[in-house]
Amino acid sequence: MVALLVIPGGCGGGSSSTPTPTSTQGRVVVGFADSPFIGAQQILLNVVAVRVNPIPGLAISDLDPNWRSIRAAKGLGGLGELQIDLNSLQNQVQLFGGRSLPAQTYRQVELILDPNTPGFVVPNCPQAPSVAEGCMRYPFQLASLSPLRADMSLQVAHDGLAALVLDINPGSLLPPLHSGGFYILNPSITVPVASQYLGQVSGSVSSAPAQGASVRAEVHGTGDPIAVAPVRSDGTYILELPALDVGTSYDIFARGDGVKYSAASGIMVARGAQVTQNFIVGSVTTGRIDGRIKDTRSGQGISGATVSLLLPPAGSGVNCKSAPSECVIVATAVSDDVGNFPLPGNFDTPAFFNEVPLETYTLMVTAAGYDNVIATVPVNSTTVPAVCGPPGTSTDNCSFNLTSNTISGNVSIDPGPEPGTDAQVLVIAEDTGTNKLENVTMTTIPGGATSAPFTLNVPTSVAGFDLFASAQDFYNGRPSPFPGHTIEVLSNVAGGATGQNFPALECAGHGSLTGLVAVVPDSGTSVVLSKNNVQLMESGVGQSPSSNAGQFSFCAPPDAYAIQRYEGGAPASSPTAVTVAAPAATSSPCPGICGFADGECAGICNNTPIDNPL
Amino acid sequence: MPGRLTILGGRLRGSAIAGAIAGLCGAIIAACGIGGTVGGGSIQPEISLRVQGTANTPFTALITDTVASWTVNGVTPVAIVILNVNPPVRVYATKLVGNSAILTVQTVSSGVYDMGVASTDAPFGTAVTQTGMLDGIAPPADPDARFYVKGSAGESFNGLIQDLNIGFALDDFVRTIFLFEHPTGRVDGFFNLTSGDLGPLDVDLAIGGTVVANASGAPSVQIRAP
Repeated sequence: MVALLVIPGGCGGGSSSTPTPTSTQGRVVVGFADSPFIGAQQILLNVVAVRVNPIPGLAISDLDPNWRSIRAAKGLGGLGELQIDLNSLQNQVQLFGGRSLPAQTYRQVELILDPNTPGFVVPNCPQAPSVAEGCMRYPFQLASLSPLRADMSLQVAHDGLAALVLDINPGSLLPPLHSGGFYILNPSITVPVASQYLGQVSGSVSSAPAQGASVRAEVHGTGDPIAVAPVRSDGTYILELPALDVGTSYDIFARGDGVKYSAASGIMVARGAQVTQNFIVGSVTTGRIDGRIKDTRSGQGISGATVSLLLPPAGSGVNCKSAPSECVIVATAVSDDVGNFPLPGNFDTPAFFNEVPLETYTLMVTAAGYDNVIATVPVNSTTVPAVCGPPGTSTDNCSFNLTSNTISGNVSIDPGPEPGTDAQVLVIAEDTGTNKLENVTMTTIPGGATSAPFTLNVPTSVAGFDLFASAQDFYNGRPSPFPGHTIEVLSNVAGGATGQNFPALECAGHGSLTGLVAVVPDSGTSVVLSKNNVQLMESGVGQSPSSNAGQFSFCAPPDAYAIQRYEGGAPASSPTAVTVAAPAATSSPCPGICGFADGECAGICNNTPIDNPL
Repeated sequence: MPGRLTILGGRLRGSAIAGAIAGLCGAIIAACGIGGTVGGGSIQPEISLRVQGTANTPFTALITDTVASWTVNGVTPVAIVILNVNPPVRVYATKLVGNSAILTVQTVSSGVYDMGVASTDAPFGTAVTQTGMLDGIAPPADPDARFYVKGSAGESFNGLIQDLNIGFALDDFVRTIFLFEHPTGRVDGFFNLTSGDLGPLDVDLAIGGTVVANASGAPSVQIRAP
C-alpha cells in the first residue's frame, strides 16, 4: 500500500537536468493489448496506474518528479484499480483511462500493478502429471521487483490527443508446488503502434457551449460506455476507439449542459482509420424524469432495474418505440432498493435523468427476468417531472409495473453435502437454442439433504428457455471459478412450468479441453460448448498471427459435450462430440473438489486435447 | 471506466472508537432524542464488503457469516457492512445483466483490504470471495435489520448505528448497506455527511424486507424503527 502512495502524481515539477514542461497541455488515452499465452483460462492483472516520463532510460528513479500518472478510475472512497484479463485482450484493446498532460514527448512508460495482489492465474488442467490443480484461481507473484517499463516516443501536442497502447506479455508462468501456492509471473510490456488497434472519430459539435459538452461512444446497440471526449474550445472533439480486425460499430452522441442530445448510430470504426462525425446541437432548458419500478405480481419495488433513454440517430426518422435497437441509448438510470430511480449522481457518473434536455424521448425499462417496457416520455417542463405515456401506470411520473413468469422445480446433487455443510447451485435460464441469458437464481442444498427447490423469474415474452444448473464449488476450502460437479440441463422449458427437476449434479472433479479451429480466425470466431443442445460456454479463439492462433479452451467438468465453431454469432461447423476426461480418483491425500460415494475424491484434473480442428 | 478500490477507507479504531461512539451518542440523545445505550470501549466486530466495478451494474449477493446470512440486491458501487459480525464471511455476488461489465467484490477486515477479492466480467457471472474457511451458509438473518444509506455516490459520512445494547461508530461512503446482525430490541441510526455539499443523504431502514422508516436530509439524518 505504501508503494501506491509514493507514486508521484500528475503535479510533479521539473528539475535542472530534465526537460522543462511547457504550459500547454494535450490529452493521453491508454489502452491494453495482450501477447497471448497458451495454457491459461484467465490471466488477471490488477492495474493501479500507468505513468509516463519524458526522460529516457529505464533505470530512472521511482521518485523522479517528471513521472505523470494516469490512474484507474476511483473506487469507493479512494484510489481505483482495474482488473484486466489478458486472454480477453487478444481480440480487442481495452481502454484504461486518460488525462491531460503537459504537451511534450514522453520517452518511457511504466505499468503499475497492485503491490499486494498483482493478479491471478486460472490455468487449464495440466498436460502432464502435476501437483497443482487446474481450472483453479491462483494468486501470482512477480518474479522480479524491477518495475514494468518500456521505452517509447509518445508525442503529446498542445490540445491534441495521443493514444498509448501497452502490449502486456505475461512471460513464463511458473506453477506452484502445491494447490494452495502462488504462480510466479515474469511479465513485460512493449509499446506497439496504437493505430494497429485503434481507430479515430473526430468532428465538430456546433452550437455547443464552450464548457461541459462532451461526445460519448458506446458499442452499437449496447449502451456500454467506451470512451468520452471533451468538446474543445474550438468546438471540435477527437475519440480514439478500440477496433476489431473486422471493424467495430459504435453509437456516438453529443451532450452537454443546456444542449440537446444529438446522436449517430452504427459508426463503423476500423483500425488505423479516421472517421468524421459532426453534430449539431441546440441550446435548450432541461427537465427531470423519475419514477418507481415494481413487480406486477408482488407489488414490491425492483432493485437494479435499468431505465434507458433512447434517441433516434439525427435525421433518421426511426421510431424508437417500434425499433429500439436502431436507436442510441443517450442516458441510463438504475433503481434503488425500493425501485425508485434515478439514483443521485456525482462527477464521475452524473444523474443525467435529473437534467434531460426538453424533448420527447423513448424510455426503455429492463430488469433480469422481467419483460421490457417501452414508453414515450415527453420532457416538456423545467419544474415538473415528466409523465410517461402508456404503458406508464402513474399519472405523475414514469412509474412502471414489470411483468414476469416463473419456472420452478428442484436441483439435486450426488452425493449430498455432509451434515454441517451445504452446497450452492446456480440455476440459469437462457432463450432456447441461444446463449442469451435471461436470469439466474441461487439455491442452497443443506447438509444431509440431496435436493432443494428453485424458482426463477423469466420474461413472459419468450416462448421457451434452456436451463442449466451449476454448483458453486470450493477446492480445499477456496472458491473455485469452475465447477467440479457436472452441469445439468433442461431444454425448452416454457415459462410458468413447475416441477422442473434437474438430473443430479454428480461429483466429477475439474476438467479442461483444448483444440484448434480449421480456419484463419478473426475476432468473430468463437467456439461454443453445449450439453444436450443447451449452450453452456463460449471460448474466444487466438488471433492470427500469434503463437496461439486458432486455439480455444474450456474449463468444463468431465462429461460428454458437443463443441461447435461460430462465426459472427452463427454456427459455422457441425457439432463435434467430445468427452472431457475425468481425473483419477484418490484418497490420500484427498485434494478433490468433492467426494465420491465410496469416500474417494477426484484427483488432479486432466486436459483433453481435441485432435481434429473445428 | 470500471475501477476497483485499493486503499482503505479508514474506520475509527482503538480508543478513538469508544470516544466517537460516546460523543455521537451523546449528541444524538441531546439533539435528536434517540435513545439507546452503547457498548464498552472495545472494538466492535464489523466487516465491510466493497461491491464495485463498472458503475450501475445490478447484482444480487448472498452473504453469510457463521451465524446469519442475507440476500442483498443492489447496483455498483456499494459497500455492505455487517455490524456485530461473526466471521469469517463469504459472499457470492452475481451480475444481473448479460453484458461485459466488471463486477468486483472485496472484503475489508479491520480497515485493511485482504486477499478476499474476486471479479467477473461474464454475462450473469458470479464472483465469490471469503475472509476465511466456512462450512456453509448460515440461516437467514432473523431479525433482518438493514440500513440503506443513499445519496451522491462517493460522499463520505460518519455516524452511529445502535440497538439497546451496542453501538457502532461509522465512517463510510455512499452508498452503503448496513446489515445489523442479531440486534437487541429497537435499532436506530444517525448519519452525518463529512464531504462537501453534494446532495442530501437518504436512508431507508428495512426490517424483514419491509422499509419501516425513511429519512432524508443534509448534513445529518436520524432514523429509528417505529
